[in-house]
Amino acid sequence: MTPFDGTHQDIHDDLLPEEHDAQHQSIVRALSHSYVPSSPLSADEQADSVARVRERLLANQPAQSQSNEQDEQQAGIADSTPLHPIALAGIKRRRRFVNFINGLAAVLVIGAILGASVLLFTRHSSPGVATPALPTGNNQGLSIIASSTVDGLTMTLAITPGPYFLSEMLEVKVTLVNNSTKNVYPGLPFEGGSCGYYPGVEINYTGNPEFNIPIPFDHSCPAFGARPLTLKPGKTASITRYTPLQKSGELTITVPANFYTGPGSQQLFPGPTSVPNPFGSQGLVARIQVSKTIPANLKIPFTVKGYYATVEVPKSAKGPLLYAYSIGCQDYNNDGGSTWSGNFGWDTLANPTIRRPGCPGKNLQWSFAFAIPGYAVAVGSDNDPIK
Amino acid sequence: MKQLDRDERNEAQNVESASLYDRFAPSLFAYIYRQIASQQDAEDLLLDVFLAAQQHAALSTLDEERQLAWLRRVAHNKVIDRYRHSALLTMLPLDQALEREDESLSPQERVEQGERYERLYSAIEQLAPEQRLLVRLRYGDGLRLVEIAAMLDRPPGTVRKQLSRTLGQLRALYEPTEPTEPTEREHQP
Repeated sequence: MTPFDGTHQDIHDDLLPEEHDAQHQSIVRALSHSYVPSSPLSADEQADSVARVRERLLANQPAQSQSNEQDEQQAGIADSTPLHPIALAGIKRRRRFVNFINGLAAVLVIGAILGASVLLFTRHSSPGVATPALPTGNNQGLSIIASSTVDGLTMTLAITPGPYFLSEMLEVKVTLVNNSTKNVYPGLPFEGGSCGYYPGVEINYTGNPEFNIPIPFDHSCPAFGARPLTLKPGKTASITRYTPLQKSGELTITVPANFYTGPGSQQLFPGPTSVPNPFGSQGLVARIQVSKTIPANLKIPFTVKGYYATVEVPKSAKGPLLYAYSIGCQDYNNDGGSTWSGNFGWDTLANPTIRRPGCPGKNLQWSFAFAIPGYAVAVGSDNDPIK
Repeated sequence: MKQLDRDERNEAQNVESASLYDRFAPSLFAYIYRQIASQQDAEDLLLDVFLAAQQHAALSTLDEERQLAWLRRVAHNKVIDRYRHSALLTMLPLDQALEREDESLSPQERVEQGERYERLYSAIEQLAPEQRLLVRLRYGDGLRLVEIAAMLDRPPGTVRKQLSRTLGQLRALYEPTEPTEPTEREHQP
């Protein structure tokens, strides 16, 4: 609860004139309702977080010291720094680190497992990449499956570790590091489209999908309108996308990207001049093998009760809980009109229970899908003909 | 021999980093968590900050106050980066935001309110990352202007102006002005 939502007695004495103004009350109240409430962490929770980060930091120490030994072609990029990119640890260096702190042996074991999974992939470029994992936004290790360096510009593609199964949700992280001495101007997917729904990562296959999600993800919002990102020397840009595996067999993952000569102007037209993608016309490419049957322990159970659907999040799940839906209903007057909507993408859920969206009509049809990277996408629907 | 020297130097740097971490990590974590409201994301960003610190050898030559200032600046930049790449970071899904609205709304009013929220979310996506953070700190966390100013290391007056301008920008997108009715004089030939 905040001082702006009408439930708080401690009204600020530093309100803006607009916040006093009746005409602004509606937007101020809406803003105060729109954010995930930040719940204070206990001292123990904070201490746990700091301890966890310490372990992860220590696990990256040898990577830093090895950076001088690795050439750019081998660099698996963890993230940006003010000065240099961080190269991740190689196996040889990790062994030395085990001698340094025995407690981190588990890290090496996980690294070896993830490294083995890399063998499943066919690398399009930079076959020397041996780094199995990198830190991600959800603390789940991702496998680097492709990396390429051209003129000091390194693009890396990392995904949820395999093996892979039909219907599984994949987390994909694409990182672009500018190790050159001049600014680079990448457009989509590194700079979001005007409506934010540009996928940026494509999974290609022939034929029809074997796993369907009855929810549209195509959004009519045009992708143009975004200005290129200015990526300065030493800086990193990255995107994370979630995409389900809808076909078994060999799938090709591509990361097409646009590059420009400059940042462009504030006006939409004329836009900046595009230049050829330095990583080739297809961009970064990798292939994975997808098995037909997903193990039962990778399925996510859910229940629908009344207006609510609740997901049973597996205890081993570390990724975010994702939600996509569509909702449709007819007009009350039976005049043939209908209303339809959805979220056209994967939203992250703060809790595992979701309420059915409202609809201004009858014969409501709600289709939904829940997903966690590394687990099967769970699809469901709920129809309410008497509403 | 060269390898040994490098190892020794690295281990010395590790000790230095650990010490730096012990001194500043708790307060930096609290600082980051306050701005992005996700424990997991805050951990990731804290890691990013200290990875950056490891690469910045000159940091060890600074006094504590400047070290903290440097770390906070990097942390702030990382937070802004996160807002840049995730426009609606820390925002509730639309339907959950609507659930916090007045229960007594009629179905029609609820639909209209939903449309307004969609416009609001779209408007927030169009803000600069710094503006998104400012709005979150003010209306998501309910921070005072002076608290925001201290957190962002800016003068309160600057924060006040930025917030005022941002609120105006949001309102223009959230409640677009209806075209005004032509006046009687305009009807006359």
